[in-house]
Amino acid sequence: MEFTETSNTETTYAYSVGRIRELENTLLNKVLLDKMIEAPDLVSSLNILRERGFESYGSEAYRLEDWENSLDQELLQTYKIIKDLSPYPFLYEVFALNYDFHNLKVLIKAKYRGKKYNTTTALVEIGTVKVKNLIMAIEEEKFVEIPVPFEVAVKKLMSEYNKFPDPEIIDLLLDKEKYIIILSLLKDKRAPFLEKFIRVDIDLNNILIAIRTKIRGEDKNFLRKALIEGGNLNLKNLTEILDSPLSSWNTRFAKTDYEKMVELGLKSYEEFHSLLEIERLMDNFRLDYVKIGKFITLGMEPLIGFIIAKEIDLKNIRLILRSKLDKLSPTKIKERIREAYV
Amino acid sequence: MLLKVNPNRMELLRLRKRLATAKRGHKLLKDKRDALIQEFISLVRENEKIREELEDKLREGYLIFASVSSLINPKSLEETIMFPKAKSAVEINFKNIMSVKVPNYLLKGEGNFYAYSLINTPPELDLSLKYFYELLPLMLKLAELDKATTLLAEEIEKTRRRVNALEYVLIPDLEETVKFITMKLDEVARSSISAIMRIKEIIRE
Repeated sequence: MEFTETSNTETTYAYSVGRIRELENTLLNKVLLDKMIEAPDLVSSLNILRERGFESYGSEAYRLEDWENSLDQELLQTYKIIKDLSPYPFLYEVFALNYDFHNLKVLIKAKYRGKKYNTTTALVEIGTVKVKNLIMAIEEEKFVEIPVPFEVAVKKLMSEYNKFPDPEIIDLLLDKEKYIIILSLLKDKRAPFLEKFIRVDIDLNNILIAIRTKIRGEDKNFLRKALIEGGNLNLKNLTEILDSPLSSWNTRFAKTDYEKMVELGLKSYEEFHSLLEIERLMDNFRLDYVKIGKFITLGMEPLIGFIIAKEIDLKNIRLILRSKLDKLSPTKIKERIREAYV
Repeated sequence: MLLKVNPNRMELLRLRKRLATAKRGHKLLKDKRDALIQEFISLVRENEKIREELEDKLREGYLIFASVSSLINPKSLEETIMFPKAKSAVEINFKNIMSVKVPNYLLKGEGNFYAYSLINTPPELDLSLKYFYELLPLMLKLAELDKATTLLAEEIEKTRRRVNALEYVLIPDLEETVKFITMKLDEVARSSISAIMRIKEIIRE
């Protein structure tokens, strides 16, 4: 509750929080998720969504043939609403930057892979920069229409790639640049809750990067290149544990917020040779962190909570519907489903 | 069916020679066909075994990939795998099975197949890609066996036709013609003997 005391006084958020409270009613709760999971097939699960009126922003109803498109529309609408409701642009920008960098990666990969690639199916309309401006920047190398930090990141990447034409550099470098831009955006914004959330997000990503690196059998050098700076965890310590067996890693996270999560996740990995559980626990951790937004009336927390909750909702829907398509049993689906915000 | 030939001794010798060659060829082709069938059956059994193994593994692989695609937006998945780092090529050599050239595929891969962001991608993607990458040699083995069985089947069919043509057409025709010429020549011989006997009778009188 440390954030309540400091940030529950920002009256600029009064209108936004009011709207968010109303929109929170459109989020999926555990009962509805269970109903969808227990439904006999995909059509029945879709019917439950439709009956619930999940096409909450007037987007097209969830139809059998294009429910993926409906999920995209839902996400697009969520970001439009957050953009309109945010009293300060940085609140929207911090989250929308993910999609800017997704678009940047698509365009840069298409440029460097040599053969002509139709990017229209991979680009998304969410972001702080218009897609056509990004296309102009990458394809024609005209950077006038994109923000300076983007220009710096792209030029840095292009120079690195020209030296070492390795597709992996694109992802590793842009992932780091994304967080540099996000953290610089939050500088002097007096948004401790959001800043801490980003640092937690970086930590969770770094833990997963280290575990994946260990399982892949990559070396410390690779891990150093992949880890993201700006989190609370010491990157040197994370690199050092690479030599020790994965089963002993949970002791390295003792007395951190991630102790229990890492312990359970790695235990599950040892048992099933799968990282599905730790990934699920991480999503739940993020959601738990932002759940405080439900109790705050004057602050940015409800907005942040809503964005994360909506993204997890969409992930849950996709997970259920895809699993229904693959005829997975309800028990299996329940093992993978993320917690509900409401 | 009789062959259109002149019933003389020269032709008879030539046809007898052809008949002997045809019979030897028939035996050889029959042996070849039997050996091909034996080889074909063993390839089909191996093919069946590998196909079953591959289908089981593919089913498992698709399940892993399905759990990946249920956790990631299709657009993000497309971005993730649109620029692969690993390059693979197939080297083709040929081996000889009963004079049939069957291919031998060898996978030549270079570069790491993990070439995507480690954040925003489900960790199961690593497992899924590794799983499918390790299945490639088995897929190539199956393709190799498929091609070999197809080529052997074609060769068996060709050989079977040749054996049948020899057994039911050429050899009977040659035998019939040889018999016909022999009979004709015997008849000529008998008629000349009777003519000689008649002349001898006339001279004696």
